[in-house]
Amino acid sequence: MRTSWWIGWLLATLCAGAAPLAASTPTPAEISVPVEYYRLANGLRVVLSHDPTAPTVTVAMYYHVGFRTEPRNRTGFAHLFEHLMFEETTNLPKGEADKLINGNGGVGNGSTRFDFTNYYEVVPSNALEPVLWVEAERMRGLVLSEASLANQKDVVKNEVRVNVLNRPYGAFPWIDLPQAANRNWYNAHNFYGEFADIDAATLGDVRAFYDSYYVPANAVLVVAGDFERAPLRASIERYFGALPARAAPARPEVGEAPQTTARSATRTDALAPRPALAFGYHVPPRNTPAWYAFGLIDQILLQGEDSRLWQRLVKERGYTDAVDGGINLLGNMFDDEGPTLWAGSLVHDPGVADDRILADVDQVIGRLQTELVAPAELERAITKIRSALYDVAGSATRFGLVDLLASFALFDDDPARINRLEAEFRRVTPELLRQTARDYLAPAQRTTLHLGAGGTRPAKTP
Amino acid sequence: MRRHLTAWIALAALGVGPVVAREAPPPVGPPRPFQLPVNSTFELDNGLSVTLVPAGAVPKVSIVLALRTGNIADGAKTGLADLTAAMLKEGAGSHNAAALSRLAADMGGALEASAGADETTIAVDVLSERASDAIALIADVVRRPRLPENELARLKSDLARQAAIARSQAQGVAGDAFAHLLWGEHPYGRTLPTEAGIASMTIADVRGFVAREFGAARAHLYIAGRFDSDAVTRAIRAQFGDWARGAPPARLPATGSRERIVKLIDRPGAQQTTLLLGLPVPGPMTPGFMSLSLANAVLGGSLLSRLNLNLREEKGWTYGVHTQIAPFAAGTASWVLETDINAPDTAPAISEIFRELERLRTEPLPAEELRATQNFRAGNFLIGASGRGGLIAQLAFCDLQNLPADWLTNYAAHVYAVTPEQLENAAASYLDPNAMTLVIVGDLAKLRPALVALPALKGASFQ
Repeated sequence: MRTSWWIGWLLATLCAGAAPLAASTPTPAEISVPVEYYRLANGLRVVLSHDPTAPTVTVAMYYHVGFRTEPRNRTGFAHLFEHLMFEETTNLPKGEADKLINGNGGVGNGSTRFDFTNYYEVVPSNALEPVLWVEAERMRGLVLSEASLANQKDVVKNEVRVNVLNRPYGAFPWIDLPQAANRNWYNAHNFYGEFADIDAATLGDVRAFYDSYYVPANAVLVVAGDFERAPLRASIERYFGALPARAAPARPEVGEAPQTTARSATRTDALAPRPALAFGYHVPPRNTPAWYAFGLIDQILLQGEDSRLWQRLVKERGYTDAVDGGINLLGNMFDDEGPTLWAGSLVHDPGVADDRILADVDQVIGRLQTELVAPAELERAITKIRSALYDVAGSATRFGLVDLLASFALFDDDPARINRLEAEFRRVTPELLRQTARDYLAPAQRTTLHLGAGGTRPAKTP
Repeated sequence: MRRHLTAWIALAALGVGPVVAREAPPPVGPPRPFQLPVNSTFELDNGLSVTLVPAGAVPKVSIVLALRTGNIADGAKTGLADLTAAMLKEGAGSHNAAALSRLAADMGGALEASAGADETTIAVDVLSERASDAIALIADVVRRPRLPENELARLKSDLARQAAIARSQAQGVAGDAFAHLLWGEHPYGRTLPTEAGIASMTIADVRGFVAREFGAARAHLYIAGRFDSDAVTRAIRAQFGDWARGAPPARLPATGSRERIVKLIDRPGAQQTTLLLGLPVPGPMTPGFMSLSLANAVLGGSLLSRLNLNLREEKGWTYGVHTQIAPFAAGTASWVLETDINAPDTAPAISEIFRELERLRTEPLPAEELRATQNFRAGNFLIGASGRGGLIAQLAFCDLQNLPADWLTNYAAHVYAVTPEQLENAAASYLDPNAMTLVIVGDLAKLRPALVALPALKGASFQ
């Protein structure tokens, strides 16, 4: 994330809810998001989703490069680069892009994830044109300078300090677990970046990365909200159509060999006052029947206080006050191209041995591998997904919506599938669900991360 | 490696930068009309306030019951309100805890209960067709909580663990010290429970808290989203109509410290120094609050703020610096600056912070900067009001602060009415550096010499 935690908080609070419209009698309905999808001649994919319920519009540009696919000797580079996209462009001095967005009433941000880097804004809809133009500027005319690079290296290192190095549980489990669970460098490196690698990044690296990955054919533009279709399509053609066509880089070989023996890693966190445990498993390949079944398994085992692991570990055993986790530690099951982890984690008291907790996890998962899930519980899992999808479609910022549309365009070339998700989940039978639990949740397929509490040293007032 | 090499060759071929005349961005269009959804507010005979807000295009509805109680009513046992909120989810009416969570999930939601300084909220966000069931669920939780004694020990351990984690975070330590320096022994001055305090909490404390603090006349029920108004109104009357009024909330006026204090807290080896700086300021009811609020935005309220552009975008000393006004119910508030600074840059960063404060208080504000800030605040208000969660948050804020009913509808007009002079005056009168408390959490062995010698901190009382 480029911006600080409070903006994230602001966005999170703004995200909950739907756009205003006159009330009408509620009728249960399948989710139905308008989706228009096309390509410019230079390969840029465009997704439009019209929703006039509030005079705001959300613009998102997703590039198909992220933590996973950054250069091998430059850990943290994809994220450092994301910061540089907010610096100068040919026609905008440093800071002017933010002025066009925030100064016209909007908010924007960027983030780096495993398989994409995104730049997104929500603005009052009368500011749509300048925001589109800003995204085109960033794609066609990033201006690089030693001063900007040096400045953003400092900012990024301060980001890592505040989020990881000076924070208890800072790398737990989101940075440490993927490194323990994976063997292919692309999935197993420190993606927030070693300081030595961040320091070593040169302007040449930056320009090479920009020229390879930040091309129209490697990106998708999503516009959702209040707009007029024909003028918008003309503007998109005007701002982006003249960008030269260049081939999108091939995705490197990111596959993981199947895991056949349990893996485990131990860390001591000098700041942490209590030990913690995380467990992770590899998720079935995207878009397979087993992948959908795994989405339901996640709901049944880990999502919400009604879930089986929450009930066992929090309510029945009292090991902890919360079990966190899910599919893809940095997003959701849809916005990761894979290989993906499903993981749960908890902070617990020192008297509880990790083996005891894992025995409970095994027991809870074991039940899923032997007994068929009852229809009511399966229906509950689908209800939770459906309710969450409505919120994605109806949120005030639409950031969740553009995230799904962009991911489905980038990874599947099919953003309209957002409207078929519930039907896909409904195809999962209790038998498939049990088989998926057997195939993907065996003890040998698990990675555990054990965090030792080194933080006995209290902060003292002299 | 090969991909990297290819990219280098491409770079060489494209090496000459584009020679393009600077192109101006396209202009912003005329503003599109926006009307806040019309809400209807009514009161039941027992004093329960109800606000219905038809909003949104998706079949979901948010139900939030805000109770006028919280840590303000902790008494000597800091955190009792939090423990009580957690206990509410341990079963209610005919449902045990597991059944409650399953019931909420079947409606497409999750039951939430949490305590703040002045308000405790019980909420659930569900599919529209389950609105009436969800209202019954909230009524069970708030009127008929089981408060089972056999779950108390577990929830007390949870509270202790959460407090220990908060105390291990530099920001948690700083926040607790800052609150205590500002508000002293008032409940606002205690943000984290102590181990001894938690150990002393009994089931009688929790049951007493509910009996004493819960009641219809101190509650406000907000319903926002898509729902059948008649059915929902009937459900509310059936579920809450005979709820006892309850006692009125106790008044505990707070007076904040205006001493110039620097509190040093050691965090050996810390790579960053955590700073919290602030002072009490008037609450939103005060005329001039909007001017102060915009002054805050200019200084540290956004990515484009002066402090963020200076300390982050120019100096690279921090990931971000943020200022905000945090209002309490009692008509008072605090203005707070928060940042984490790369340790070696601590002293110069503090100097820059006080320099930016002084500049805001004494130099004329450029009209363009004010306009951008006004646009930012008005536009973000619009975005916030476009969702049912944001709408409820804004309505509840107005109710807690006793703001007039048209405060939200006139919000943008009030934002744009602020003049540069009003903003400067607000900064000059309310953001007085000589009345500010500064908490510094960092590696004192390295920091102390520079801090005590710092001209910006001259005359402050070091603790």
